[in-house]
Amino acid sequence: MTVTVDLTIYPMELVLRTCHTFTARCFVSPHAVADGLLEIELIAREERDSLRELAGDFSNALLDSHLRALIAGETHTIRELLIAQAFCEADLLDHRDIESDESADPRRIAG
Amino acid sequence: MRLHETAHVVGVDRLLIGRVARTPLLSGHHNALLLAENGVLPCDPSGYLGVIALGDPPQVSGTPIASGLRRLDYLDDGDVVAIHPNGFVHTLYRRNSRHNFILATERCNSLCLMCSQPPKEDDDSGRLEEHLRLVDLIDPATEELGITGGEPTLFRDGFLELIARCKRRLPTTSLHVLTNGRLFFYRSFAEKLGQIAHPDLVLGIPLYSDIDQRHDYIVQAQGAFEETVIGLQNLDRYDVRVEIRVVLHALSIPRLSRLAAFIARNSPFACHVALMGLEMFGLVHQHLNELWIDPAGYQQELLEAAGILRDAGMNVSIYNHQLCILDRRLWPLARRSISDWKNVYLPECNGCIAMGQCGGFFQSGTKIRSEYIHPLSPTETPTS
Amino acid sequence: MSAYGLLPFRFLRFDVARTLLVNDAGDYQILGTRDFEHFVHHQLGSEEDAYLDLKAGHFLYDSESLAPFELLATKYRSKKAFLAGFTSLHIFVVSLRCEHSCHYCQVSRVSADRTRYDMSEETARRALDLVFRSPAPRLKIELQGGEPLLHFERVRQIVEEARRRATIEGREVEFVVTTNLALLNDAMLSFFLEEGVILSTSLDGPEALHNANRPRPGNDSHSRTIAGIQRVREVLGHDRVAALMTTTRTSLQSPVEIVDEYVRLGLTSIFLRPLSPYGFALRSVRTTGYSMHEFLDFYTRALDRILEHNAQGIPLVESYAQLLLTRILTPFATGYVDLQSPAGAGIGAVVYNYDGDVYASDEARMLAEMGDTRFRLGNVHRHSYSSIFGGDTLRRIVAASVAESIPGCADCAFLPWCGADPVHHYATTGDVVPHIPTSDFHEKNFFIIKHLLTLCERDAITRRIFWSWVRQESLREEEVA
Repeated sequence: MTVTVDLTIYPMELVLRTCHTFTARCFVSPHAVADGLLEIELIAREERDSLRELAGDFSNALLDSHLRALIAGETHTIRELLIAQAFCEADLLDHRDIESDESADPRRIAG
Repeated sequence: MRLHETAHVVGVDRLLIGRVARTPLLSGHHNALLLAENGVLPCDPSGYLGVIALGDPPQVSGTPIASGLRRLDYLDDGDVVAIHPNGFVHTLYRRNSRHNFILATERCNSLCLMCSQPPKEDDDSGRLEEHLRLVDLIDPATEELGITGGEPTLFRDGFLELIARCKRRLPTTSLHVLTNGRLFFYRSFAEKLGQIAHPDLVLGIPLYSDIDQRHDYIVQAQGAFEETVIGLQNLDRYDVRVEIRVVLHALSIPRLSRLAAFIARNSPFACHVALMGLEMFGLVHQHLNELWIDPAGYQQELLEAAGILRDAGMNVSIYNHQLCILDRRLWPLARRSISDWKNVYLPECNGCIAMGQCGGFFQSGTKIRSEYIHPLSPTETPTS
Repeated sequence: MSAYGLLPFRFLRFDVARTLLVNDAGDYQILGTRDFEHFVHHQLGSEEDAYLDLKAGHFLYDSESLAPFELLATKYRSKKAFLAGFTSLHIFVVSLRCEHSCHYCQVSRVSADRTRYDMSEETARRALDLVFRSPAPRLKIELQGGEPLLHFERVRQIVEEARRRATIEGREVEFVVTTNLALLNDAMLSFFLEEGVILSTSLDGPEALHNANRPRPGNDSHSRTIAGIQRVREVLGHDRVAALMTTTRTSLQSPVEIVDEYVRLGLTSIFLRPLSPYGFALRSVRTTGYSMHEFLDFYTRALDRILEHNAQGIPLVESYAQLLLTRILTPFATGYVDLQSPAGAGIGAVVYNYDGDVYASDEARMLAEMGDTRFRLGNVHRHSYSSIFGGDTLRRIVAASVAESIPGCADCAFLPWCGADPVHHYATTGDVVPHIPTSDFHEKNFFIIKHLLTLCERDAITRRIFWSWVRQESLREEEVA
């Protein structure tokens, strides 16, 4: 069973990641075909495996991988900041206000 | 019970704050106000700070005197009273009461829709000294003392001084401060409070929603949620105990269980969560349409929220709810929360078997209240 | 449609209709899949319930407010707080000698009369020197073997000296002795009472099953274990002895009977453990071996039985589920050395072998017994604290154990609740870095976490039971069916 992936939609790295997650369920063998197209052969581990289902799951997994990459792309800066903030106590977010004091009250909390 | 009255004053040229002495003192006269009744003094008033006369004044010269009082006849040794030059006499502290509190200021930086102590922008710069003096005069055996407002932290350094004074003068008195906690957004303020290391201090801080705009709307202050929530974190960082208070009304009920989950997840260090019935006094009347909801109608939400908090191992209390409208399963959480001088019952309550356990109503809460108030019979009360 | 930004999270397709989201602090939400798609593509309206829940839950932000960032950073720090104490669990293998011959034993056992497999007084003292170099505010010292009671004088020495040093230094120390209880006598009991020692023992199930798994001369392991439990309860207190079980091929058929045996004995916790592929277990793989899938089926049935008991008011907790549920349901840290990121090997727990060799974990020690010493950190007689705990060996292990950078783990929705075990992966595959799709470690944890979440979503009673486990309290009266 073969799944053809258009590399202009899904970057190579993403496709290979998805391949990796399927290696428990089947054997996965990618080949480049035309320019920008990748053919992925899914070979059953055992006779009774449903390859149609596997191929369907693979396509869905590609979509999810794409979504994950999207989310990671949007959030990775914040993630790094948060982790560093959690451990370093350095002023990585804009902490000028929190580090101020109740007399200066730059936010005018006291009105 | 009235806590203040206007007297006829002679020789009172400045504010006098002193301890009441019904019984003559052997020492400490300069801090004491001798109590006279019906023209009779218990002893020679010279050396005393002043005289308070219930009824007609006795003959005194050289000592300040406030006379003609009728309502403050409960005053006893150890109580603390303030006499103003304009004749205003105010009971600040009663030794026999379990509900003493210092009204720190009437200024506030929030304007909650249901505020029961509507703010006044008076100049309160002199009040801090009065509070410090009051703390010096309170009996150190007092078990509990509240600090309320307005917003007490508006004194900033003065607030810290007040807490430190309480620690020094009243080291075994539990201190419960009602504050919106917003100024603790500034980490150093929380740090300084933590450094005082008061042995038994709890800050009661309100949180009305898990959504910033909704909390901000209820307290009518933009940014309040952010300040309060970060304030809570800062206070915990410096080991200051906090309690979270939620007033239940039509704006806070819809997401109550989500708020409970938010508290359990983000402020699990809170030593207590108080779910409070709406007090029908003050600004609430200007926003009745938005706020009023019959408590009997939100028992499901209340059960769910209390369940979430208790599942997470937090201490929960329900205040200001009558037992007849509270779901049976919540009775173990209900407290008799209305101060001893504030609570009343209704004619509908006659014959109710649970009256001894139930806190009743605020005096202000008897007109607008649940439609479902009814006396409970023995079959309706859970077996204890 | 409103302007909002995503906060970091990972997701899993939970079932045909729902998606699970987990943020970096381990907070989770389950969304209808359509809401999820809208959310990720910035199409969710700001008044929708899903939007409000995601905002309050720290999955999105829509203003300059610092609150979500401050709260997330605090929660993240809380979750990793187990790192702060560095090595807090110190395991002493006081002797390899044992009079049992359990089929699955991880220890290279030697029969009872070979004293050269006992830890010497000097070795124990030097190991304690290392223990007290640890910055952990609360130390836990676990004494095991073989059978530690066969070398009781060493147990006594370690406990007494550690107690003395802890008092001088103003530190807390807890003691656990892992023992089969067969050799317990009154002198030992009164010592344990005096020093506040807790005991941990093995109970594999009802008599026939337990004795089949754990042979000893006289074939009376089960009755001795029960007698030991009663005696400990009488002298030390009801909850001063805990039991765990090891699952063999024979056990797989009897989940209900095993659970019922624990209930019969009034035990309040049970740890359902699969076999580890080390030591004697490897040699007996054909008789004791089974697939992870079979274990998980056993686990599911046992857990169902445990929940049935709980619903009747019997407070039996499954320890592994309790650990995972604490991570899922609360913001608190749980240091569990075999399942954390970075892994607890060395930095959370350490093993001092009878001969003074120091290992990052019990598994590392087992590998050495089989000839592979790559995870030995040093020896108490020859190496300093800094070369043992700051040396290359430990650093290599830790570097390989950060799940956040392991392929297959990095994207996994369960990452904040899970962990890594490089020594285990090395022992089973030859590589410290796991191949997640085929890893039995992954299979076990993924399945159990998903299963617990499914149970949480299934009904309120199960949720209430789980919460009572997390709080470590019995169900409140009004919650019992």
